[in-house]
Order: sequence, then C-alpha cells, then structure tokens
Amino acid sequence: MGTAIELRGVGKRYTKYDDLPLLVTTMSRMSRRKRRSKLWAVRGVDFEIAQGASFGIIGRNGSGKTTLMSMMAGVTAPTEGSLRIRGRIAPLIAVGVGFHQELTGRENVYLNATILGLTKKQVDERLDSIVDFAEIESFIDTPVKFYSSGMFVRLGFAVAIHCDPDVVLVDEVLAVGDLGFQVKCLERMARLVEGGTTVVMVSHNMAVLQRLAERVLLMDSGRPVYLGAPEAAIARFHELLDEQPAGMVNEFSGVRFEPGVVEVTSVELAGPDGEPVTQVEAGTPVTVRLTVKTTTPLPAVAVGYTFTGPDGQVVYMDSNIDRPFGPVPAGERLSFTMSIRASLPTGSYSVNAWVQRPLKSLLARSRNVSFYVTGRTTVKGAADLGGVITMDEVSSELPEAVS
Amino acid sequence: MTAIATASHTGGGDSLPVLELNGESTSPLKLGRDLWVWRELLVLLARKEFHVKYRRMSFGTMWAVALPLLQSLVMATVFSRLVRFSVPHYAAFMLSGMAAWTYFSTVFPAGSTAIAGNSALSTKVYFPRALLPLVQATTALYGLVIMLAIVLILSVPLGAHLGAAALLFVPGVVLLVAFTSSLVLTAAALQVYFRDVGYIANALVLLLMYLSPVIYPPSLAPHIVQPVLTANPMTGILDLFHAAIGVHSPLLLPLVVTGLWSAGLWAAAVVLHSRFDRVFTDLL
Repeated sequence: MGTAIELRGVGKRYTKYDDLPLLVTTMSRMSRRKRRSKLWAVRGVDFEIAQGASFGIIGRNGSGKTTLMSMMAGVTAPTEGSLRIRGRIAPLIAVGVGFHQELTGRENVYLNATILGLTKKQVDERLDSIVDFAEIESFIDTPVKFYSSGMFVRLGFAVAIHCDPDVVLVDEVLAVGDLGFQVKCLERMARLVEGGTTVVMVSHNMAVLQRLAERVLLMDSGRPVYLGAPEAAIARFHELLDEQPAGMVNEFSGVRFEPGVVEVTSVELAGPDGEPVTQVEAGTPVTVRLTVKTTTPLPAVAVGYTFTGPDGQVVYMDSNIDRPFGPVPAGERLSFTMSIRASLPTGSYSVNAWVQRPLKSLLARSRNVSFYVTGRTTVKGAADLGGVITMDEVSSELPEAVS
Repeated sequence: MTAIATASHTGGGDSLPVLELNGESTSPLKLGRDLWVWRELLVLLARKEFHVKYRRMSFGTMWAVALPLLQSLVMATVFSRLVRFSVPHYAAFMLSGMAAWTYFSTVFPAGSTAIAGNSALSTKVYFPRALLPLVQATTALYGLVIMLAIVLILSVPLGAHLGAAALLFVPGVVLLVAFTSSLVLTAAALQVYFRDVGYIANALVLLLMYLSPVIYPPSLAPHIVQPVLTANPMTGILDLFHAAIGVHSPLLLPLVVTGLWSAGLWAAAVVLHSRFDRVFTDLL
C-alpha cells in the first residue's frame, strides 16, 4: 500500500478584493494595492494518507477545511508547498455538479460521469447500477428539474461512487438526503474503504467521523492543530471550542452588558452521578452548575442557560427571569444548579450560563462548555422527544374470503 | 482502464493518474495534455449547450435551421432592395459574410464570460478551464454548419457561381475557428479578473459589424475606414468566405493580418491559462 495523498508545507493565500478591479483603474494604476488584502486561508499543512485509509478533517467554520478539500480536488492550487495525489479523485463536494435542470436524469448521468472522468463506454456499462443505487428507476428520463432535492442528491452520489474513485473527498454531503439513504451512503463508504479507496471527509457530525475515520486532523484558523485518533481530535476540538470567549451572541443582541458587577468563577456540566462530563447519553438528566461572585449588592438576580446546537443555533434556553432570586449582598459567592434532561439528538452541543438583572442588563456570562450527546443517531431535528417505534402484532389470519 | 483525470501520468507501468500541484502555474505542455485528456467533456458540454437550447420545443432543432434561414432571407431582401451596393449577386455575398459573422458574434461575447459564468461547476471539480470558452466555440459550430448549408443551397438561385472556389470555405472555417478560439480564450481569462471584458466584447461586436466587410466589400468602404479594415483580423476571414462563392479571388495581406492576430492571441492565451488555470476559481 503506497501513499495516496501527500501534502508538504501546503499553504494557500487568497487575495481579497473589496471590489473587483476595473480594467481602467488597474491600467492607469490608480488603485493598485489599495483595495485588496492578502489572507492565508491555510498554512503549514503536512500530512500523508496511505492508500485505503480514511481520514477526517474537523474545525470551526473558516478554519480552512474547505480550502484544503478544494486543493485536494485540484480546484485550486496551493500558493506554497506541494500536494500529490495518486489515483482518480471523486470530489463528493460536488454531488450533482454539472447537473443541468433541463436535461433528463440519464443525460445528466453521462455529463456528470464524464466530468468525473469516465468515458462514454464506461457509463453505458454502469448506467443500470447507478440508477439502481439512486432508486430513481421511473424518473431516469425525466428532466432533473422535476426531481426532489433528495433524488437529485441520490443520483449525484450514485454517479460519484460509480466512477471507480481511488480517492473520495466528502464535504458534508451526507447531511442531505433522507436517513435511509444516508445510512446506505455510509455503508457504501465503509465498503469503499475496505476495497482500498482512500476517503477524506469533512464533517460536523462527530459520530460519523468516529465511526468512519481512522485519523482526524483538527484545523484552527488555517493551521493544523492536532492529527491523530478521532476521539482525541474530537476532544481537542471541544477544548478549542471552549476557549472561545462567549461573546454577546444573537439571543442577547440588544441587551445591555454591565461588566464588573458579577464575575463567573466556575461553570460545569455534570452527569446523572454529579460528576463533570463531556459525553452525555441522550435522555439522561444533567445539571449545569454555575458559581459567581458579586461585587455590588443586587436587589434581585436571575440566572439562565443556553444550549447551542452543532450549527450554532440555540436549541434550548431558560431562566428564572419571572421569579428572580432575592436581594444579594456584595462580595457573596453564589452557586446555582440548573437541572435538565439531555433530550437531544446525537451531536456536539455546548451550554453556557448567565446572570442577569431581571428584564435588564446582562451581568455575566460563562464560557461555553462543550459536550457530545450519544445514543440517538437516528433522531433528526432540534430536540429528542423520546419517540419509540414498535411494530404491532401482525394478525396472521387473512380476512375471510367472500364466497 | 482509461484514466481520465486531472493530471499527467507518471510512467513506470502504473496507470494511476497523479495530481501534482507545486505552486499555482501549470506548464503549457501539461495544460495541453490535460486538454487532450478532457476532450470528451468538451464535446459533451457543447452538445448539451446545443440541445438545451431547443429542449421542450415542438419543432426542436428545426429552430436551429429556421431562425438563421429567416434572418438570411430578411437581410438578403432588405440589403439587396433598399441598400444598393454594386456587388454582383449581392444577396449571396452578404449571406456568406453573415455566416462567418454570426459565428464570431455568437462566440465572442458568450465565450468571454464562460469561465466566470460557470463558477457553479468550476469551483467544485477540476478540468482545464480553457474548456469553457472552447465549449462556446464548439457549440456555435452547429449553427455555422447550418448557415453554410443555407449559403451553399441558396447561392445558386441567388446567382452565384459555385465552383472549386467553394473549397475556400474549408480554410475559411479553420481560420475563423482558430482566430475566434484564441480571442475567447484570452478574453475569458482576462474577464475573471476584469469583469468589464464581457461588456467590451459586446460593444466590440456591435461596432465591428460595421467596421468589417460583412455586408459590404472592402473596396466600397469610405477612405477613413480603410486602415481599420486592414488591421481588422476579421477582414481576412470574411475575404475567404466571399471568395468561396466566387465574388473575387482571395488576397494575401488580409490573411497575413489575421494570422498575426491569431498567433499573438494564442500566445497570450497560453501564457494566461498556464499561469492562472488552477487559480481562476479563487476569484469566483
């Protein structure tokens, strides 16, 4: 087994134009270098991926994951360093790329497969298998503009995996499509890896990475931060997220911040047994513990907490703003316990707690505590409502035939 | 297994394609090889462009013939009845010139914006970006063939003598396609950085229609326009198209001018594309 992918000191610098240059102004050199700035999107990346290995890339938005993937897809070239990939590359960043709305599914398969590097003859041979995998038999001769988004993605994915890729680049594509198809895709990717295909994936879905990736690279601000086993990389990623100062996020926009009155001394998330946790089983009780110190007397304080989901949206927020705690003297140490059930679908979340003058200014806000919810991989949506699916006993008696 | 991919093949009996990126530019040789490897995509994209145009129409590709035919008949009638140039079998002369001009005026504006305009495709997968303007030059070939067929069919009833000279259409088409391709390759590369190029192309087409001997022979042009006609790369091409239906014998000088333009633009296209091929998408 050789090396499939090799990156040596790879860096990519983008020139950011505040507006596109005009021919005239550039020619007259009036605005040279005034309205552009250079920005390293990725720098100093070194890694090797063996043939047939599976590799994950994680990081915050804007950490350079997508730029790395673009370079591996050959869409853009590194500004410095070198990159070498052996084998045919199928960028699943590009599912359904080149699909033309007016063309039928069949015509689009030919077009898409040619873009991915198949010859017409090869497509002829694989067409049935592609259509079969995409589960769109009766729609293959319908223009794709009449397809549902799920059908579109299924066909795109089917084409991509049928072009004998040696290297598959997956960028969050599996976030689309229905669950049944996602499972099918994951299985197929696992099979590809077994069959010697190298898979590189970018995902916010830590469960998928933990299952499929052998090694994970953590990127932060364009720099590689950690490269190693998925568990360790994910843990490091959560630490990184915690370091992020909890700024004034959306839910507090418009609320005045009054610093220096209350100071957060500690915040933690505890599991059912009261010990601090970073992994939580879905549906189990957890507590958010916040300790603060006051510097001035307060007539009343309210505390609350915010759970933030994988894409940064607020999934749950509560406070006792309607019945705040009574007057608090200065210099007091206050501890609060907020209990809640972690009824959340599997994924990465974070929680922070805050102190507020009821209906007035925000006094303090804790850092984000990240945690990972396990055990409910099939649940989609913001909350896990604890659904249970059973099959009712099937009656073996056939309805009596009317004679 | 044919290995069509984004890169050259390293020898040693290993058929796996290798993508190797060191820095932003590509060698012209490698770019040429990549273009050859991706030729099937060029044809497919060109066919797609053509088919999509006539999709879901009751008469389908009939329109591809009907519209240029109608345009030719209208122009032939208008120009031979209203504007009287003393040119033998003027209608045939004009039709032949229009065949070349229609190709040029279709490809130039469309090809100039081809790279920036296809960002949905090019930011996701790699193929030599030069394919995109070349797709426009290829798609328009369908129209050119149809127009030439119309010219050949109509020129006899219109009074032209079709003889061995008609063979001049072959070098005429070759020169037309070679020149137009070099022009759009250069323009499309520049347009990624300077979006005004697309509009400049439109303006030039509008202007050049009357500063090229499309609907009039060079000899009838006013004195002050003559230098423009001499320097105009389209003059040599139109000259061949006119000579092909027996209007006159072709001249050498306009052909040399066209050749020089093409050579210069090809050189510019090679320089631009080998430098920016891999990084065009950074600005899209």
